[in-house]
Amino acid sequence: MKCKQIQEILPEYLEGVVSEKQKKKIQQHLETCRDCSEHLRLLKKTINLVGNLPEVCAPAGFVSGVMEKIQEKHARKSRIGLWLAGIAFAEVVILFTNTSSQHPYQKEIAKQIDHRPAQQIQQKKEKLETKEEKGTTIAYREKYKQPLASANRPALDLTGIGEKRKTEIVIQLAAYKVSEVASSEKRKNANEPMPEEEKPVAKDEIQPFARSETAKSMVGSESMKAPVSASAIKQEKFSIDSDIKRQISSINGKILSEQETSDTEIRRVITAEIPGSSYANLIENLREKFQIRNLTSLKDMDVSDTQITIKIEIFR
Amino acid sequence: MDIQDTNTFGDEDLVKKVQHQNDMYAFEILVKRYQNKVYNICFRFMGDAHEAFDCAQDTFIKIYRGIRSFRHQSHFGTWVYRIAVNTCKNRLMSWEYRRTKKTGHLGEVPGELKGDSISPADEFAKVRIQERVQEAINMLPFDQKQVIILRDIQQLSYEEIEKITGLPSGTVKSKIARGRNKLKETLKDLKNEM
Repeated sequence: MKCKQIQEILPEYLEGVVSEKQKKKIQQHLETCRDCSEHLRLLKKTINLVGNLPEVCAPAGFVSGVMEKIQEKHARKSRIGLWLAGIAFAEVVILFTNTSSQHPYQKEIAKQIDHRPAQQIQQKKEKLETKEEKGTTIAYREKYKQPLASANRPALDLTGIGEKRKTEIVIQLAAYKVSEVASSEKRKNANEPMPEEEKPVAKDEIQPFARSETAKSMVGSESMKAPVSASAIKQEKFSIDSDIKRQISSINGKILSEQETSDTEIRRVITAEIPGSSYANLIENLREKFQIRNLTSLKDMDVSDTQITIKIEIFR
Repeated sequence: MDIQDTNTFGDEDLVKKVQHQNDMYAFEILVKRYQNKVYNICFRFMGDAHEAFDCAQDTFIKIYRGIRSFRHQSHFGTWVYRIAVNTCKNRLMSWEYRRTKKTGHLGEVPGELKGDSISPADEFAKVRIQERVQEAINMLPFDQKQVIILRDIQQLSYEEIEKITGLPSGTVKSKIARGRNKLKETLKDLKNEM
């Protein structure tokens, strides 16, 4: 073996990792070659120099520094985890809020649509259709799709809007009050006798089934028992009917029908249509002159914008 | 049983404590056990006390992060050395390090040196030789440097070096031989001191 080859494997020879054959050859060469022997000596010294380098110890506080650094990184990681968790929670809340409530503009439009009449909704639909025909963007249609859909909800009944409501009322009138009788112009018939079965009543006392103005005017008089003439009764009935009709006319009411009945109690039925705003005045006027036996209750009802059909039943 | 008082707990036991119970005290014991070896490797690789400190610290942080993935298929110490070597390698290869390339000088106080108490003159001569040797190591290519450090400084077996470096046996031997020859050539002017 040449010196170069020997010197190349000398480190391995020192390590003892060469074969026995190589080891013998190297030993034979080293006995005769001074250069290679010197090379081996320097190599051993080099290995010793490197191997004898002192172990450099970690400076004081190295362990605590490492542990602090780890704790610090661990805490930072936990904070980041908390932040991420917080962000995730916020996103969930936002998502939930968005899905559980409408967008503000949707709410506003739906609110407006809910309170506008059907005619306006129809106009809006037509407007949208016109715009679609003209190639309006899809976004415009999407914007109004939701509110228009909500306008068609069953709860929103707009069919009656624009028409006045109608209410039918039945008023049963007996006859003139006693007080009215006293001041009536028809007092000229006062001398006519009352039916025998009639009993005297005190002044201002309501006489439910008084038959006639004349009879009432005879309260306390001896001529009560005198028979009532047919013409007087006829005139009294006419007076009642005309008085009622006059009162209806005075409140801009309209007589729809007027007919005699064959009923044993109700003599005549007058049907009229009056504005709801005048209903209270009519009833008040009727109460002043007549005894109202029965009246359809309008309690808690707002009839101000209602067209009322009244059916006045006049007792015999 | 107090794990600090005794050495009855081997590396594997302490590692399992960290893995299963996140026992920071067990990890601290491991850091104490390996701090000097890791710091020494880092110092020999980097040739600078500050760089060695940073690399050693990073090594233990990486060990803590990755300890749950340690499968006990090799000795814990081998795994520690491998992380230390890779940390130093990454640092040496980094753009930042190369930009401010430093040559190792033992003039900076490298932690604490172990040695016998000798006269100041001898101490000075010894330190001077050590500086030259470290400079020679710094001049080695990384693949030779790592095997020289592991073999001649850390006194590890070839098998351990193979596991740490991932190099085959023959490659390790050849790189050791080349590295030693290169060191001999570099340090030949010290033949009088040899």
